[in-house]
Amino acid sequence: MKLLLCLFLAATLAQASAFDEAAFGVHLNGWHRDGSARYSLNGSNYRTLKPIKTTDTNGNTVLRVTVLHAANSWAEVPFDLEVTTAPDGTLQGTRISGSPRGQKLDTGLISPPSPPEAAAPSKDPASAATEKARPSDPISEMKSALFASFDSKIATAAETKDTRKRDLLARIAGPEPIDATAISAGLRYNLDLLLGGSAMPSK
Amino acid sequence: MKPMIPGIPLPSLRRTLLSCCALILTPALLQANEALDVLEGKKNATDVPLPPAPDDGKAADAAEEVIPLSDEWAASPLDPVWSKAVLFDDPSNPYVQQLAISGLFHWSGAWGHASPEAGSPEVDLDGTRTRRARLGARLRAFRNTEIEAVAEFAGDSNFNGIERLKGTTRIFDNAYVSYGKMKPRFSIEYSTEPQDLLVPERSFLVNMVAPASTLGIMIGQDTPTWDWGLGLFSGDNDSNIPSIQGNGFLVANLAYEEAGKSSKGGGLRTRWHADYIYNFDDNNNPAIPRYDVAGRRSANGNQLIKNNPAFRHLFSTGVEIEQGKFSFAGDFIVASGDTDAWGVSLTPSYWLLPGTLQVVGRYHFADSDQKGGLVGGMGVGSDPYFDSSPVFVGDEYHSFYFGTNLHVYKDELTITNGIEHVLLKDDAGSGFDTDAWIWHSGARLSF
Repeated sequence: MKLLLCLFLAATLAQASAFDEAAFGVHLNGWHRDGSARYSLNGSNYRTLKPIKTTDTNGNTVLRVTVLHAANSWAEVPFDLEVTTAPDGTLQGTRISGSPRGQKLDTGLISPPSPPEAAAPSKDPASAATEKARPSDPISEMKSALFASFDSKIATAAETKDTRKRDLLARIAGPEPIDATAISAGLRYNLDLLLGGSAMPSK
Repeated sequence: MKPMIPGIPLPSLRRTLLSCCALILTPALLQANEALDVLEGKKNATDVPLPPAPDDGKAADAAEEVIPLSDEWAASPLDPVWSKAVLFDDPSNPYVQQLAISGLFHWSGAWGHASPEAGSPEVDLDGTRTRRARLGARLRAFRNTEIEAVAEFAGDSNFNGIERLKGTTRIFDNAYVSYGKMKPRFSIEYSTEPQDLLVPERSFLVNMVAPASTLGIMIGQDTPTWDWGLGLFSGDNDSNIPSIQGNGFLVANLAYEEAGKSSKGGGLRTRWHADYIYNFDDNNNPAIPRYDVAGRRSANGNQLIKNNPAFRHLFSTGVEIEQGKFSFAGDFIVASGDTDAWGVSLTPSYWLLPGTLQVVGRYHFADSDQKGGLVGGMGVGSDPYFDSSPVFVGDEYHSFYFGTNLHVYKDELTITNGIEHVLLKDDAGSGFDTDAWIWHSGARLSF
């Protein structure tokens, strides 16, 4: 079991470390000359900026994409999505950060759960059943934890007082709507692509 | 034993004092004693009543009273229009990361008159100008180089032309080298881009002493706290491309910036700066100052200006403070050479509606030991380099400005209105002392 999990993680992460920007762009309707891709998902419009790859102080590779949700005809709500991998290709974690309506939002680096230690076979049938029921996909667990954190934080941020400077036209038009569901869906879609999923958005 | 306080016997006083101390210390002592009892095993921890926890809700409410103003702008309906100025933007491209057009249109109007004392006619200051009309481009390439080219279409023939043609290459993380035609960094107002100025026009002394935008090279470093720069500039002053002329002048900049929290919990940003310019060519440098008024006559009293002001040393130091809705800039300038002058500018501002309406004040003082040592303009012609508007001379200058800035679209489309009162004194006598009331209106559009 432990071996399988390690192999699964390494395979996923090898994909992330050998990142194919062009293929990523194809799944987002292609890159425009302004360095972004435009696409729709379930009636919501998004832009994703070209990924930027950096190396952190620990030598890990950080792949960051900015996903912008079109809140209305003139406002976009941007979030940074980061995938961090170790030099050997092991996934270290994912992170979402942004500042909706001027409120800092950061999920912090959410790491995949470590594989369970190999334990002696239990004689207790109830314990064995629990072991069997435990989710076996650490990537899914990591994504669940990431978006659980994100969803709670964005709900708080959207309700907090806007501290940004607002010009005359912004005051007349009012603040941009924060559609947490649509933003979350856009980020999930991009994360799935970064971690190796594939789907085609509508144009 | 005699009582310490006449009329109050000692046992009574002691009892009173002990009672007071007991009242003050009782809760703390009780908790401390109970904690000791728990540690010594005399009491069970669960049996000890705990003091009430501070009301988290109230604490949160109190914390919310101070909301620091963010530097970030809220999305605005004109964002999609302004974003068209960026023609190409791709940080991942190894050769060209960004190509954008830039522009500034600054319209300025002033209404008022200057009244010299007896003997001289009033000077009409009514007028409007296209003070700046700039169009340019900005290119970011090779991940470390930025090239700016800006053409100026406003003003006299000696003013319009190529405003800047400048390259900046980053070396390592925070060091840089800049080269080309550019404005030397000197004082707060002259270092601030015109579209970001809080006041309609730079102050009298800055316009009088500031060096020209000319050919130069600068090296420097921007760290999160310390910034420094050192540069050498040509002594030529050409509205298009200057040549290398004379020995030029040396520029040294040093600044310290820190961001912290104020006593009320809001953000507090402070920046100190010191700028120094040494002019190798003394009174034979067309770039310091930028204008030439020799041979002209003053609007106040028709005094002949025999020589253009000349400076060998220019020094400026000051501080900028931002705390929530309030900001302040204070700058001290001294210039010495054939002409000696010094002055201060104090510029407070406050956001009445953050991002929309800002009130601005400025007090400016300039002084010279020489009769007629100060030279400058008023109203829309307050920069003698811009055009041939009437010039005034004196040896002591006071300006009081109060106005409002309406931000229609961020800092890129603003409307300014304000009133200024000017007092200009001159020891030369003969009724040259002048005072003026001027109404300023202006609009700036930049991208």
